[in-house]
Amino acid sequence: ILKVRGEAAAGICVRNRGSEERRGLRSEAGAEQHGDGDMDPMKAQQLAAELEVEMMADMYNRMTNACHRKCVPPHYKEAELTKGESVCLDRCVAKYLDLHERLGRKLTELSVQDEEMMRKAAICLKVSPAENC
Amino acid sequence: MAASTGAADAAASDSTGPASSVPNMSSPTIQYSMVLEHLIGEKRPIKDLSPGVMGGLPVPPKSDEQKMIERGMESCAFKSVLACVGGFVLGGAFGVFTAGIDTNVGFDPKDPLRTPTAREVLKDMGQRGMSYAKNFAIVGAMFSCTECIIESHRGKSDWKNAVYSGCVTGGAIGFRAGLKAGVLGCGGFAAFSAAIEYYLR
Repeated sequence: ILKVRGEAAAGICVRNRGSEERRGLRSEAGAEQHGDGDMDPMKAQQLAAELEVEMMADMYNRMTNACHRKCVPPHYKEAELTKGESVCLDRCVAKYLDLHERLGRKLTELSVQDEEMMRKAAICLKVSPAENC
Repeated sequence: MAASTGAADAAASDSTGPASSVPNMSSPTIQYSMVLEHLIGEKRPIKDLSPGVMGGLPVPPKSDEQKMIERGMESCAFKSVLACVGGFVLGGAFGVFTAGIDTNVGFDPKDPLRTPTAREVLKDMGQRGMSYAKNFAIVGAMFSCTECIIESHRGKSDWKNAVYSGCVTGGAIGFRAGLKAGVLGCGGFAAFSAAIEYYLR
């Protein structure tokens, strides 16, 4: 369970960081910002569309590997999937996608909290630069 | 696992980094929450998920009928019906065969040396065949049904499924004659199943 969770988390976190750094998207996105740090929704959507293809492909690969390792023991007596294996694969995929969704929601919550904190700190500094915020 | 948690920690610290250092207003930051909402949150687009899109080998999508047929053929009910029919045929053949070997028909106490008529022999063969066929059919259906249910529940396919379902079937058959016969039936049929599985695997 821990391995699957770790992989799902890594799939969301590492993938986003890696592809952003590779494409130098920070400056590209920064050009469109307003003064208070809010991002243009259209730009966010475009960014998400670009990232989504990679994210889905990565998630599919990880899910396939994880479920194959868990459900299909390496003793191949026949070419077809047996009933037990196909039941196991159904459950594995359902759990993986559920996990992916929950972790994504949690991550979105955390990044919203993060941004609130950043915003408050920025406002605090703007108002009184000398004070420790 | 250490690597993935390390990566997750790095990602978390990366997003909290700008908060702690509080940069000047001109440095650009990506608003992760907005991007994430489009990626995995409420505003994500509805995608048609197929392996061709996501990096696997493109496979033509199966029609609904085909999926229904395949699901039916994999189901426990279909398998037990198949085993029932197979058991019936096998039992019939077996019964007819043993009737030919072990004749006890047409015995007339007044005339012990009389050979039975063809009609009597055929009638005996038919009865025996039918009785064996019904027994085999019931046993086969029960075994197949319980094995399929146990396999679906466990999610694995190995030799233990056959042993467990053999015990259940033998127990159910023997239970009609009392608890001890049930336990004996369970053990015997489970051992028989284990032997067959060992031979098959």
